[in-house]
Amino acid sequence: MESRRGFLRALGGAALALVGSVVGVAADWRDAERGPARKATTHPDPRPDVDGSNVLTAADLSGNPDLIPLFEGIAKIPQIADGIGCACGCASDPNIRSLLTCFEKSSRMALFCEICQAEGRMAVRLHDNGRTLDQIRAALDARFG
Amino acid sequence: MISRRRTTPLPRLTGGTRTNTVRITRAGLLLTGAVALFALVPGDATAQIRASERGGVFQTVDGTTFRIEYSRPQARERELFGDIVPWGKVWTGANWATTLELDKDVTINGNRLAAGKYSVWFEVQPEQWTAILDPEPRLFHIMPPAPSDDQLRFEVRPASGAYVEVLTWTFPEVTHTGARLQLAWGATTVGFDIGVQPSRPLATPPEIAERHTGEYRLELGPQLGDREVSFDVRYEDGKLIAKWESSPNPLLAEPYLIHLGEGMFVPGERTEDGELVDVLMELIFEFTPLDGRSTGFELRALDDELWGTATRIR
Repeated sequence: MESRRGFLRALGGAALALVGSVVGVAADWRDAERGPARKATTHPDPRPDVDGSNVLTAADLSGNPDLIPLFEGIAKIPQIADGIGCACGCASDPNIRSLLTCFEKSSRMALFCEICQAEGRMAVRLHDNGRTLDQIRAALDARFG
Repeated sequence: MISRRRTTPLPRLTGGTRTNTVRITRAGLLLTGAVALFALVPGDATAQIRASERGGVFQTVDGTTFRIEYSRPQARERELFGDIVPWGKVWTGANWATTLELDKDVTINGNRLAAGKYSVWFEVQPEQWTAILDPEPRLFHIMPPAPSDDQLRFEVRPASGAYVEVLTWTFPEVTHTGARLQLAWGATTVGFDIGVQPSRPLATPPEIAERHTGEYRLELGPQLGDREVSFDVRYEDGKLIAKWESSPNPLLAEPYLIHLGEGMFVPGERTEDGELVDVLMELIFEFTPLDGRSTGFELRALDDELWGTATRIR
């Protein structure tokens, strides 16, 4: 992969398989290393009684088996995903409350949207690494904001 | 019987506005409505045959969009500036004023200008013109705005260029920090530079940079050749620069590391003389903190897939 064009093509066509984190850390940049000031995504408060029961299941994803681990990962962290505002632009849709909605049967947004998918993967990964909701929000804002 | 007053701009070249008293019957109102529906056309909905059709162009730079719309008169072998556009005239082009719309604050030739829609005028002189951006966008060409504190005014120098029959606005130069907006008509060109606020500045504060400078061993995944290479990070002139052994492409051999926050950076492709070519938002360097200093980093692709893992060696 020597040419710039070939490399960029590879970036765009990166496989969707979720690869586990090699360097798992719960720490963050403790003194709140913020990036350049930009408009951050508005994040909703997670609903106390929210659960992952409406997230698309493996049976719903038979046509997209590569996405099953991601959707299953989101279904396990509804309290996190419901506290994240999606940065892909879908949040302007009043029917989409949070990143969790993107993975639910009511919207199916994350079936098609690579930004939703990438946000979801990052949220699952950071949660698995011990990050709090606020830390995950800050990381998503830096990455996708 | 309905009686109403309305103000109507007169057709081009006849000057001024006028106030008419119109008496309209119910049947007349229906007929007027039918004609109005029939006459619905994009742009200026007048019955006039346009000698200067409406046109426009836009440019986005780093998330800021500039959009210029204007009528496009033709030169038709006429003498233009100094003749049909006399010296000293405040001129915008033809018909409704040229407009410049900005969706974020910018600088224009170094002057700050808030987001909004402006009409664009020039006071033309033989050697130097005054560019005028007026906050009222909807003005007819024969109604130039009076000078006011709300306007941005600055000097621009016209130049000679290749002959252009139809008045044309273009963005002939685009960089990662702005663009040049240029008007050409006949053999005259004039323009100004629009600057944007970088969403992700190249500069990194020293207290953040010092956490990440050092030497790393980077184990690349199969996506990038399944090998181990050196990856050194230095701080130079306020910018973090990496030296990436066997980089995926030549412009990433010594990329800028552009700070996103939360220990994350994206590479900025740069030439040997330091010019920023592109920012690859699809590739993330996610540094791992320990006591305020990075112990390594993960290299991740757009979809969050892991492409490499680095460990600090010095």
